[in-house]
Amino acid sequence: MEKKTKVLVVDNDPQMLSITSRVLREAGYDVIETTTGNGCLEIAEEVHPSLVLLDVVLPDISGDEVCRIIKSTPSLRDIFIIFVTGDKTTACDKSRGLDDGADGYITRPILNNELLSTVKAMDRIKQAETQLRKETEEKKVLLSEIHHRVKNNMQVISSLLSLQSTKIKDKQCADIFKESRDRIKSMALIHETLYQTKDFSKFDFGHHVKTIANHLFRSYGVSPDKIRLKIEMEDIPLKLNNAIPCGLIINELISNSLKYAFPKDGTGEIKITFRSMNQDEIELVVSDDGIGMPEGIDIEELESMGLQLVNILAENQLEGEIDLDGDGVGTEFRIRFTN
Amino acid sequence: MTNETEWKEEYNIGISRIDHQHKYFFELITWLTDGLLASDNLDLNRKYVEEVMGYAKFHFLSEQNVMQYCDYPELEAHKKSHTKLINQLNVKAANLDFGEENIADFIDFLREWFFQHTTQEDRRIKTYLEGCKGLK
Repeated sequence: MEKKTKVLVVDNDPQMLSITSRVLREAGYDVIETTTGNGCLEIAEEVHPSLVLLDVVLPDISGDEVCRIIKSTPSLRDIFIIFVTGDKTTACDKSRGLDDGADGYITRPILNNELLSTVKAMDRIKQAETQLRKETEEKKVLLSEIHHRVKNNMQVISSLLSLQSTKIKDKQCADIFKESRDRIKSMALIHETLYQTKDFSKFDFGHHVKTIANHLFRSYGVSPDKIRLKIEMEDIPLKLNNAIPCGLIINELISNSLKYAFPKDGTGEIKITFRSMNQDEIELVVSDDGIGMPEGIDIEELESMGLQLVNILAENQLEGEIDLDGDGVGTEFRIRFTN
Repeated sequence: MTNETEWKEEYNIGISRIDHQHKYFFELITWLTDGLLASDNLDLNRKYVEEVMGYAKFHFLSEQNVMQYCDYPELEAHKKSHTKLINQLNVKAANLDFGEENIADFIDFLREWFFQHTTQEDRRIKTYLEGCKGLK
């Protein structure tokens, strides 16, 4: 049998209370009655009804106040409140009641069928809302679970590559395996951050960049005392489909600097800035003060797989523009894209 | 008195716009009496009752607006009496719908209700409103 919707009817007029309750009971609602505002608040806490039909004028605290309390209490605010009143019946009263947080407003006198149909309509909306809340919660759990599994699978791939690379004697080949592992790690880190987050729409990109950088410094055995890392991040809510390519680009560019920029004494600085330009445009700059790139290098003609990847990710996935300044001191990659 | 079907001078309280509405309300009850007694169509009878409810609501707001315009000191108390009347009407209409009130009793109630409102409660505002400037 379908569960009956719980409705709390609050009216200081016993006759009105009894009529409203009867109309709803005959239609199959589970009705609870009270004549006071305090009674309403107590029952709301105890029983958590779906709907409250609330009289505006009550002997202890006003219906307006009861509505305000319910709507400002996190555990109660999902309860739908419908004012039912013969006192405050003008359009101004009605709009004030709705603006103060009520979900519906019924003025007396009202015929039984209109009262019932209005309650039924509100009940349908309330049920749809509850269902939606439940489904969203389930989807969030599911999404976390998926990110968790993706991360785990990437870790397995990374471990397999690691295992395989122990057999490799050739350094160049071993480096390729290492780079591949770092790329997978960078992607895995995104999924790790994601399954720990509560809100998938807001990804903490700053935290993610620090994690990638720390991982790479460890992976290349570089001490942060020798190569300083400077990160200047604006708090921009980055869209998820931009976070993954951005993370990979940063992974490639930090790796590139760590490998090639500081060949002499291995000291210098790598700087990452991430800021908002105008409207939705974002600028990501990864630079170092190392030896720079060979003169006249064309970003489209790069042989390094890492830099080719940066170019593809920037232009194809982020649909942005990429500039390289490597002629003077150090190297600077500047990427602009729309979030 | 409650069986009267013709409007009498003595029902006037002396404020023309209120008297005008009271007279219409009185006639409406007479017309609906004929309508309700002649019809056993539930849908139509509901609409007749709705007509009374709609006019009662309109009339009470109209009276309250006049009282507010004239700064009538007993406005809040009078509003409460309107609420009581509205609730009474609502109870009767609901009982009619439940099949626990017959039409003849409902009509008696309407007449009684109307006379109590006009000849007793509204008479109290007469003296005050007569001295209200600009009220036509």
